[in-house]
Amino acid sequence: MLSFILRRILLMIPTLLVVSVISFIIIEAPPGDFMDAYVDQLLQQQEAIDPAEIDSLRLRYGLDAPSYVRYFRWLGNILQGDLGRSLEWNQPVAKLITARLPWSLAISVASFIFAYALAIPIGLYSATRQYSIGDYIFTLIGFIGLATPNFLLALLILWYYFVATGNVAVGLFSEEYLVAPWSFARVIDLLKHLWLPAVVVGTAGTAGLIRVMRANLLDELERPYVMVARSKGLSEGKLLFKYPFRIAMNPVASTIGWTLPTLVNGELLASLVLGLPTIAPLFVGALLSQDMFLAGSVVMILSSLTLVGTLFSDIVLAWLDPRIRGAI
Amino acid sequence: MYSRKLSIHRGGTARGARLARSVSKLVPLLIILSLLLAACGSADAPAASDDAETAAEEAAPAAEESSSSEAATITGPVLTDPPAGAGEREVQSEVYNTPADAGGIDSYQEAPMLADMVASGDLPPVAERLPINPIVIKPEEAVGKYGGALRKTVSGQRSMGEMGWWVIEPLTLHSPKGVIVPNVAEGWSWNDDHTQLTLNLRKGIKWSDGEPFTANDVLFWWEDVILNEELTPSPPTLLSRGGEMAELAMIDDFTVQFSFSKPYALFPTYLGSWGGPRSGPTTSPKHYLTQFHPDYADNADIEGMMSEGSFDNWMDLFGQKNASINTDKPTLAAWIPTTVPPTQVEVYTRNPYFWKVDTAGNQLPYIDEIHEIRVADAEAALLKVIAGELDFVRGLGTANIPILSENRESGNFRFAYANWMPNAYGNIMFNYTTEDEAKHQLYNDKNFRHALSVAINRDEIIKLIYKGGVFASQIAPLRGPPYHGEDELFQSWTQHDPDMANQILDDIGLTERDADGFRLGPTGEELLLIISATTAWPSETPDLMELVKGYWAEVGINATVTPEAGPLWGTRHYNGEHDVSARGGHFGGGPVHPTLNSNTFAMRGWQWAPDWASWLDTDGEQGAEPPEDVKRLRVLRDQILGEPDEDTRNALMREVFEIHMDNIWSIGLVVDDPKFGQLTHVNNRLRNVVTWSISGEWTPTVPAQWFINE
Repeated sequence: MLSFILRRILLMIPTLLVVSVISFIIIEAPPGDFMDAYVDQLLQQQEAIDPAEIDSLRLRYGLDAPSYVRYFRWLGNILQGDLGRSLEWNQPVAKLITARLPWSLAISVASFIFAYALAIPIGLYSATRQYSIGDYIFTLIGFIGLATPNFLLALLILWYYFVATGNVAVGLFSEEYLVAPWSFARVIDLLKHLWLPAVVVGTAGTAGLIRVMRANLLDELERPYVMVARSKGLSEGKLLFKYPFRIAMNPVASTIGWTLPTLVNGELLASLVLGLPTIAPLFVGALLSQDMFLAGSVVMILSSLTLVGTLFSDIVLAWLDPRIRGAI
Repeated sequence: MYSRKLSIHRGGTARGARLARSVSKLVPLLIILSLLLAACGSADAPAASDDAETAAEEAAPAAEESSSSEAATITGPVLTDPPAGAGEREVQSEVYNTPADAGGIDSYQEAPMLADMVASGDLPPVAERLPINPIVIKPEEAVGKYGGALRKTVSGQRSMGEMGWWVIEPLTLHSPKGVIVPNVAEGWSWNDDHTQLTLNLRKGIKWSDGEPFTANDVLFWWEDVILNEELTPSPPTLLSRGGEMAELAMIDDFTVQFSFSKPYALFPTYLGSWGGPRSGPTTSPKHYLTQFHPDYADNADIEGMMSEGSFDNWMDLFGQKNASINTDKPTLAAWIPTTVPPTQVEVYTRNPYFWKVDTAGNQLPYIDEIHEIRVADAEAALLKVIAGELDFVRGLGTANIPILSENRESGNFRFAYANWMPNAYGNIMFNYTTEDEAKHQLYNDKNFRHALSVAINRDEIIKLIYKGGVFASQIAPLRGPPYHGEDELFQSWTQHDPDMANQILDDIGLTERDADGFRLGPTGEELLLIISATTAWPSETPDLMELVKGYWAEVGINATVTPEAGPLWGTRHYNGEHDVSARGGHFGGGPVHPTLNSNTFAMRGWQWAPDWASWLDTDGEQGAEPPEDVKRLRVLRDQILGEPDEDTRNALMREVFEIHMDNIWSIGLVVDDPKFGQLTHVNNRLRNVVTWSISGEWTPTVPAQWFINE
């Protein structure tokens, strides 16, 4: 078991190196550099641009160096634990990310709780009452939830919420608490605003989970052992929760691998639309403005989390199933 | 493994019932339960994270101060009449250089929050904080009242919105009426041939930390920032004249002198309007910045700070400390940043040492705080505008006018205009240095460009693509004085006249046609114009070019359109890889002479012919030699910079525009009405805002005089 874990960890190192090369190439792939994007932006804002000042900045940021030089400079810093400085915000990347991490986690955790808490009972209901009216309704809602892009759902909810209440549900605080210090009232205000991102971000996940839960449970319910147990007089509730339910939960539980990165960077576009102070808008902005260090660092962090998550599921699976241990 | 969840579910299960029935009874209960769970879960999540709390606390340091504004002497609104709509009132606001000019001021008053600090001994009295001659602002509507927060928004990608301009108080500044007036400099004088400018700084101005502002600060900017080759490898264009860098001398503590190798009469205007000369001289507090400059500070200290902030070199460290968003850097502006972007809301608080007062002697600004609320998505920002949750939003664009107008009453806001440089959309550019011989000859023939221009039906384009707010025109400067972008001159070659186009094309020898009726090139080969249309600015460029392609087909010119993403377009364009290309453009504008604008004067980065501009910049070492008319533009620019007489300057500018309109180096389609392109939303609770601004930056209209009328 120990050697299995060790092998997996050693394999992560080359994977991360490959990830760093690929993410650097992808981020650098669009023509132009940060200064080009910056000039483009100034132009659209009708600002006068002095090419001499732009040249000064380009030299200062070292953007004139060849890409491989910049890659090794970046990688070298990362190996020393230094994520570099964001060109756009003129701040250390680590500081930018840590300032936003709690918000990202808060919203992700809220939406996961929303998704699981809603999806499991509904999936349970749908499977046990297959082809009932309730099942059809939940199926319809589930498909709509799956098919609607999050950001569109966010815009629609924003709009209807505004028409209905006259309030704009952008951001996480009302006006009076926006710059107020933390207090009980501010926490309550935060909770009043947190449900919307949780619902929007959680909807697609909920819909997917309902389908997974329903399908798995349906498979199990038709197994002979269920019939045997029932014929032996086991109570329906005990029968359902003791065996098929637990097995149906298995695939749901093995999604940890890709759950970790989404905790940090879930649902980019919905966060953008809802004006949330999470990492997602920062990341999108960095990609748009070709802020290499910020975008690259976020990609590296997400990749590392994916790998750690995968390792974690592998360990859990190996622990559950000895056959896997010898596989790699 | 699932014992916890199991116990919850099991608790509600009716034993012995049919499986389906039991679950169906369960479901409502389960859903309620799960919603409760969700609520509890979300309650725990943020509270559990201490980091979140401290981060938000850092973001809101000055919040408790805003409550003291309730103690303002005036309670309730100052003004009861409804505010004037966009363009409905001539600009009333005036800037007086000294209290004497304003008719004398007996005593000075200050905001209640500052009075409290004076009372507790944290701050010197207001009279000691103000300079000998504070600038006196005659308010646009009325003497306002202190207090409140101005709610603005900043898009997700930018570090500062308008505040980027508002935190700069230059040496000179345009008045709300568009005249260049003294600002940090109390006055200036030229020698006879306009080669030496003596600036007298306003005595007694203090930085926001209370340290005096003197000529030493200006000299520090010059000698240790601009002339430091590591910090400024390529000094701002406007600081040199005739290819030679200006010189700056400090005469005494409050006098500095610029010397130029050639007359530079426009320099005081540039000091107050654009680029390096505007921002640098008054935003470089020597007493603060020397800590980060190796000529003054200890190298070990600098290296310590570099490793702490993960800086690669001292220039980056200095650059960050010298940035206007640095909350520690003293400033001369009305509001000081207290937060480092990006946060949910960036807060600026009043500068207790601000050196402008109103006609009643009240120290400005009236408004305690500025809140820049970060909203990444344009639609979400629009929603906040409509809901009246913001006080001032500029540059809303033409597309949203209907929905904004519809909600004007319910959102309790009004519009204001800014008469700024117009956007010209869909400028068609040609590769004048293309290696294709036939095309090279055609593109360099202005008759060919004239023909292609009159072949275009601009009225139809406006109907099909734009709902309004744009005019058929070649690329044009600001409408109204002094350049009159609405003049017929800028309508040159914009009439739709396919017959004329055909005639010209026949006359220049494109008479042979292929089987499809398209004209063949001068030597009988196929002629296909490949138009690369940017998708970035404006995004409708490919649509515009599809229409153009159709109009050109009618006169026998075969073209094809390739949309290109913005940065790709830019890179290919400046590498000379385009055949024909299209993007938006400007001729400059505002109350400032558009002398820096590269499009107007074929300067470096000239969008229409980068190779020609580069030939001129390098004295023929790089690029390609341009025609005489292009060289003439540079000669005229040189004359304009040195010409002290405004009428002569305007006549020279007219000549520049005539050269452009004769050559049509870039075919223009439409320009927007800056009124609409710069449409600004102002909440009705915000007063003393001019109904039209001479600048899209709004700085000249003195935002420090705005107040919340509640």
